[in-house]
Amino acid sequence: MNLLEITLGIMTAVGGFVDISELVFAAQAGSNYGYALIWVFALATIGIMVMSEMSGRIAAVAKQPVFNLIRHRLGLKLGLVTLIASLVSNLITCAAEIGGTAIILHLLTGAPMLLMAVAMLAVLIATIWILPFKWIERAYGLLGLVMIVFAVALVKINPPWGAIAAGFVPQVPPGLSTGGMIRFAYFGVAIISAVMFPYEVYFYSSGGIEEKWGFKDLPINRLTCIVGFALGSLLSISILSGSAQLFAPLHVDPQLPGSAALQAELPMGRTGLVLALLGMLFAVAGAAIETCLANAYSLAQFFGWEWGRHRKPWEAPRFTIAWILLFLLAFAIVATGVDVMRLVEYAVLFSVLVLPLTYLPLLLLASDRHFMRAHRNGMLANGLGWLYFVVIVAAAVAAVPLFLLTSGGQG
Amino acid sequence: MKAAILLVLACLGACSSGRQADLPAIKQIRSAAAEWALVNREAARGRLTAPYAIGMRKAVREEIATQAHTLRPGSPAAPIAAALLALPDDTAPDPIARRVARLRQIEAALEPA
Repeated sequence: MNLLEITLGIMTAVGGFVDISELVFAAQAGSNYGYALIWVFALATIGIMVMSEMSGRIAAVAKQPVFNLIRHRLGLKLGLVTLIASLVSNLITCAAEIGGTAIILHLLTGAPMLLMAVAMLAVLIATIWILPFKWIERAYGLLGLVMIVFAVALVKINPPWGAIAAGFVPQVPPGLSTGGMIRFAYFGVAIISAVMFPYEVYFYSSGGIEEKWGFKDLPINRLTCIVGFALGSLLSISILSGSAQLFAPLHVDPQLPGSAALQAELPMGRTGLVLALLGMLFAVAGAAIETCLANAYSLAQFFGWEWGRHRKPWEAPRFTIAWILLFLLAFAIVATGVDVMRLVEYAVLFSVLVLPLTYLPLLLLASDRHFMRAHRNGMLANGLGWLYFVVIVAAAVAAVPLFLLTSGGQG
Repeated sequence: MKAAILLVLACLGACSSGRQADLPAIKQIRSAAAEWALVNREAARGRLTAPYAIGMRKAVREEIATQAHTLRPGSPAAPIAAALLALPDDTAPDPIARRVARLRQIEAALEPA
């Protein structure tokens, strides 16, 4: 067992957790509510571990990626609704990630943002075209580990560890006004959505099939989910805690993607700043690849096209055209000059609406005796699965009213 | 269903009525200005790279300008936002911090109990 064997989980988790939305939401959560939202991260982390483990297990046992199941279990009409909703959600997210990488590159080099977006687009397309899937996950999974600089920065500022530990206990901060409570609830829903983004399971389960997982890979699947997502969660909680400790006293409510880098700069100087920006760049670029490939996987699996990066690009032509077009569409959204942070808010909102439609077929199939045989869900996986299904349905129902009531978390 | 929609609309109306309608914009101006002061403090200590300092200053000024446009006429925060935008990019942190403190006072006065 070595680090290279779990890079799919690391890339999925680092790109899924510490993408552009998490960089902003985690930092804002910390500066606004101190450590009071850590428990939501912990709750959602267990949820994504449970669901990803199921999707990986289904990929290994039944050789079925998530979108095949969605079509078969929900039927053509509801499956099509899920496909369209997740395409929109992932496309907006992908645009936000490309815009985010352009901002980070601009802060690293000083070059114009649009030029940086073009450069990033070229790098992303070249990466997927040239590198085999294994090397895509290894490159972005391992480079994303530079984000550990945020955990190191947190240790260096010596925060109140007891208060951070207390943040794992479910709570609502005392003394909030009604508006404050509504905004706190919005942050809770946004964090659940951002941690459990559907593209993570589309990417992860398709990745399992790309890597030709079988029964022997089931222990790796479990370990990958636990280690990968725990790592992603640790990084997010580090950003939240650093923000509570450093930004809140200065009345900074970080609105900009580049703000989080100051958390590493304050205790570690210029080296910390550059490492933080590089870590953010690799993590967000990894998320851009995940969202784009997740969309191309979904389309190809739904319509029964040849797909996968284990094939040469010309051996799966419709899949290849799909991911290139999706990247170009995402870039076109960024090129309109739309505010990246607004894109992030809409991406999170759309995703939470897609969550129940994504996770229901997964749950049904993972507990199907005929399909999964000895590897079907046990009592613990089933219990946790249905518990989290209730949580995400509640989050999906609450998302739109909370978004409107808080003007996307601002009010 | 109808009742739920009416409740949401009523809450929306309540949330954005009167002087409180400016509160989200004031909060964002205050936060952007506080961040600007922090960037300038760290830049003065030589701990930031030039592209980062320049990029962040540009971004916070854009944020302040965007939010200032959304303030109602006569908002007490409007002259403070204008004063912030009149400051040079690399101004010392203290003048910015003083305006952050004034914006905090306005926020506190507008914040519902």
